[in-house]
Amino acid sequence: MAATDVLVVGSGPAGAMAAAELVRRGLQVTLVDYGDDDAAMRQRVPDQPFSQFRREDAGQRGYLLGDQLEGVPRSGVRVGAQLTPPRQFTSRAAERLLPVHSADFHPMQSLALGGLGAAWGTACFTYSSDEINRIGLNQAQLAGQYGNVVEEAGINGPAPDDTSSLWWSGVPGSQPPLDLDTNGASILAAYQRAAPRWLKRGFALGRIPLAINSRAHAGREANPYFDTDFYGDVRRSAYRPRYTVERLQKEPNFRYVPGCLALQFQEDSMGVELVTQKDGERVVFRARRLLLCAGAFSSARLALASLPLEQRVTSVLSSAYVYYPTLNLRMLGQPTADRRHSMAQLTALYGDFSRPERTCSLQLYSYRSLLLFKLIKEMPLAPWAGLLVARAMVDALAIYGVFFPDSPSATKTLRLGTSTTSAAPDLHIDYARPADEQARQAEMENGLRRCLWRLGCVPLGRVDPGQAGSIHYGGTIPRTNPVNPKFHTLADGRIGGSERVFVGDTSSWNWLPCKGPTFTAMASARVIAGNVAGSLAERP
Amino acid sequence: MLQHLKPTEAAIEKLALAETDPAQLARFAPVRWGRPGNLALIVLAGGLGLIHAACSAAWRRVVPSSSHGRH
Repeated sequence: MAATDVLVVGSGPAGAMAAAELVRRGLQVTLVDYGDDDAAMRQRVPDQPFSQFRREDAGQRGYLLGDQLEGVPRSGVRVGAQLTPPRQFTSRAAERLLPVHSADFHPMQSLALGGLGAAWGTACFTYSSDEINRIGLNQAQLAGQYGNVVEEAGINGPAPDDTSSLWWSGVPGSQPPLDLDTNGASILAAYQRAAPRWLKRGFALGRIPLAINSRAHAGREANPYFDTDFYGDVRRSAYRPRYTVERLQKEPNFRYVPGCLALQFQEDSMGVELVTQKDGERVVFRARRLLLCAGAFSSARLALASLPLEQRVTSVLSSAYVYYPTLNLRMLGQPTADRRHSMAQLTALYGDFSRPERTCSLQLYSYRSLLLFKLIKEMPLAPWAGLLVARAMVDALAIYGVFFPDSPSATKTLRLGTSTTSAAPDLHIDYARPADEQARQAEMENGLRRCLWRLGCVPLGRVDPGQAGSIHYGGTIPRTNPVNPKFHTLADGRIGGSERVFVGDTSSWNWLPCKGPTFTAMASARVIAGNVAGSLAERP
Repeated sequence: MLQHLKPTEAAIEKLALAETDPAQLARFAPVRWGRPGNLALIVLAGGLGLIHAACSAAWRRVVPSSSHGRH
């Protein structure tokens, strides 16, 4: 047992940023984490362009498919199917240790070092004041932390203009945008030729801010455009929360304790006690404050298991997500450059921009380094024909991932059960979107498909990876809880009825916007960390 | 409805192994025959491939032992 000022649970984007803020303020911080990792697999990926090691490396099968062929999908499209073998550790331990029961909602959880941030697509967005109010955050406090997140993570973003300001407010310290690949550049050029007309239709498209260095920053190198970002990143150009944890470990007031599965906390007049399981043994930590940053499901699991509640049930939010593989006719049969990064090339908003509940967001990916066999698997063709079609289409494939906002509802609930297969209790999730929400989504998708056609991108299909497919979750300990009003957080991030336990991740959000939450979640975590520090100064 | 025409797991695994073999890289290289050329290839290969897949699926239904490898 060791005393500390603040115990932070979880090393994901929120946990790492909160810990960084607390350490910066001079507090004694202990970060407790399960911390699964797979450095050995990561190190096998060469620091070479994708096209080069595909020609030369006889050992490529190991990291492209996995030693047990775990990178060859066995079933239909599901949540997490996109993880390549070097990134599969992100959800590996969680699948075993964090049981969830649901008919059709299977979230991706993480017990990895860096949490879901270990496989994050790095897309960053700022929110409008309307969106921030709906979530329940404070705009001025958030804006004060944006710069610190940019400094820590290294984020490139477009210069502010009429279009991009809808998703990126030009945060100071941002790096210049990354170069677009041939596919992305051709789509953006087509859009820009008639941008005012597109905006009138409610379709805004432009460069996407990414947490990837476009120039060397904070000891990490610029992206080399090797198109290997889904496999390895020897140069550390894309931000991963573990880089922050590694940096903090050099600070005298920070301690990282991996291998711990957090199970329960208990608050008393002196502080908070956190019970964990490590190597099958019970390990207890004490601190003056506890900050939960374990992710929407694990933070709720911990709080539901620890607080004296009449009902161990709560709300849950998850952005609806579908994707459209499209054929960019402009690029069909044309030569493309190998020089590219693998992450999203462009982003777009579609809908009524003044009504966030009626807006969806898009992220455009080109398809190359994920290999052809995954495409062929989804084609109702004989394999020889699928291969020919895939070879003819691959340079012109544009995959549009579409995200929708999510509002709380009595039909979206999470209930704590008893422990069955793990020391952590089971979660039971019932998640159904009300009919009006489904109708709104269908209406947006119809309009969106028309925009894609007009843009010269022919939709080849619609893929729905399931209810939890977006991996954007929140709202499990919200400010206002429609399912269990007594289980909520206060404006400063504290759990209702508690003096010393705070929530720093998206669990406390009342609403989920269509734009990805990670950047704002990181800034918000730093704001809550500041509130934790303030509460210690007021009442040690 | 077209779900049962998709390649078997065994066929996909075989393709995945071939695609990660540097000696077979050319088999998986992008085809760049210009827009009309690539469109023609997609239509032709797509049409014939669909017929082939439908015949194979029908054959598997008639002779169940040939469905070995589909799970």
